Amino acid sequence: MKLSVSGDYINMLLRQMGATSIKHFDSKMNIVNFDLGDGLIVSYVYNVTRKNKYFLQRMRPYSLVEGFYATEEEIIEFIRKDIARFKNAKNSKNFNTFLLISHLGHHVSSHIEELFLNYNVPEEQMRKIEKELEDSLYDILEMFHKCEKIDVEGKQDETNSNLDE
Amino acid sequence: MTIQQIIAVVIFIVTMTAIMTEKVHRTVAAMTGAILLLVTGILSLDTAIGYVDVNTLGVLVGMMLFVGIVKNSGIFEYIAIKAAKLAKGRPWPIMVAFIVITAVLSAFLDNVTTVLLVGPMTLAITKMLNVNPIPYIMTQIMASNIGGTATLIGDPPNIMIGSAADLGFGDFLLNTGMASIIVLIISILCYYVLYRKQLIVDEANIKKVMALDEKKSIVNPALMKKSILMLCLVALGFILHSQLHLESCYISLSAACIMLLIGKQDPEEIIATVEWSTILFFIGLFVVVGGLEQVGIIDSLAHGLVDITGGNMLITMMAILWIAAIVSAFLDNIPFVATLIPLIITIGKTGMDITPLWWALSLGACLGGNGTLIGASANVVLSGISNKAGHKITFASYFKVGFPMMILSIIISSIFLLIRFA
Repeated sequence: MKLSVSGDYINMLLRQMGATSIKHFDSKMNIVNFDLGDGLIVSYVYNVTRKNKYFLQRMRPYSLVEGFYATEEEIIEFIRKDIARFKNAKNSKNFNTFLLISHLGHHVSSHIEELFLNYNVPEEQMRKIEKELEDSLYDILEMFHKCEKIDVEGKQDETNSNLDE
Repeated sequence: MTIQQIIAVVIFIVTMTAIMTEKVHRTVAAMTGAILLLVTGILSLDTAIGYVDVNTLGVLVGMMLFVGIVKNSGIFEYIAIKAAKLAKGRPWPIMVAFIVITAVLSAFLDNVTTVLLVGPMTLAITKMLNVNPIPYIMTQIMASNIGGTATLIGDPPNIMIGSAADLGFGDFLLNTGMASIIVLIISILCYYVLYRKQLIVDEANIKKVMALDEKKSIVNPALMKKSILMLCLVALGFILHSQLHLESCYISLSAACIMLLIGKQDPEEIIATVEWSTILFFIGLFVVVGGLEQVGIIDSLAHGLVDITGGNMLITMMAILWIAAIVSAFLDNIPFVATLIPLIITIGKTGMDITPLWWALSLGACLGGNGTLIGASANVVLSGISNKAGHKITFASYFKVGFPMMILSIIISSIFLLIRFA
């Protein structure tokens, strides 16, 4: 109970703000780190509730777009594949660029939110940003067709990566 | 002294030192002490188990389960907001209201539980009023200990005393309850003098408090209705338990079972809210003190105390009251009370009327906890909450107010006991 004081304080204020539902349940938080060498650390956090429900989120090198509920097997399988992909990607000379692009993506997302929720943005500007992002997305989707898919779980040569031209 | 006595005393001193200095987690210290008594053959397993006061454990577990469920209804949050609004958002009436709420809740619930329930509300409302929360926190710390003194179940020392001395809820109400009410009233007057100049707020902030909607706190209306009904029944059960010839733990455990059955809360989640560490601590402690009893040390100490006081009940009563108060101000009162209980029982065998001694022990041990920041667990917990919120209460800043207030409460208790029993 001692740990719940901050939660009680927050929940009381949230209820006064109009929150219609606040569910709480005990869970054990697990933080998992993989050191893949050359300074690359991949971190995950997952919560296990009493009813054996799990919620998984990657924290480093960049967060998952959204965490997800999963079973034990799904969590292990996801992490296994994720680590395999990162291990493979780490050997690419474009890996740092890839990380930079991922971080940029997060920056774009958070700045867009900051902009639209706090400023009156002219529709023209909104359309411009929308168009530029759509174009970027289209380019990325095109690459799925143009680039060779890697089977990171197969007999892939460790030095081979689809981040390389 | 025999070898067995030496071993038991050494184990006791080492265990208590570890507990008091907090070098070792208190549960680990108590359990280790208990196991050492078994391993060294001072106590057999059956004898050790015999020293464990199951009634005390039952009351603690029962009330922890009960509160764990009732809390989920939102009733405590509702009471706090409603009280603040009934006080018209004014800082001094809110302080008095929260002091009374804390004291009343502490009389029925564990002090730590009470401050954990009231603490967040206090921080939220003082933040809205834009007023320093420290006076509110300080007064609630003291109110929790005063309220806990009032009843059989308000504080673990009282549960232990009631169980050992076969004193009922009504007995406590008529003795420590009366004294606690007097102490609380006089304390509130003192707080007014101490803090009135700090309790100045803007009208705009008062409106924020008045704008709170207490109905939003009711997260589970059905559970709230059940909780209110059960709170009334529990209070009635405790008041009548002696007449009904029921142990106090039957009341709390029955209440817990009923709420687990009808509350529709996840039993696993609720059971996890019980402070099992505290329960294990009590078990270990009972065994460690039992070791002293087993080898005759308690007998010797009791006769020694009677010799010093000349067998005079009033002098013994005053000695126990003041020693308990000073010790409890600096050290954990539970081990102290656990040690004194068999001592007082032994004194009773010399022919002295020991009923006043029980009240002296209860008042001293419970009110003494107000003396310093470390005098009681509730003090540490609530000041920790305040510190975490950025409002630091230091040992010295608390001592300047708490210690004189504690001395005042013991003076009041002394007068009360002398009038009652002289």
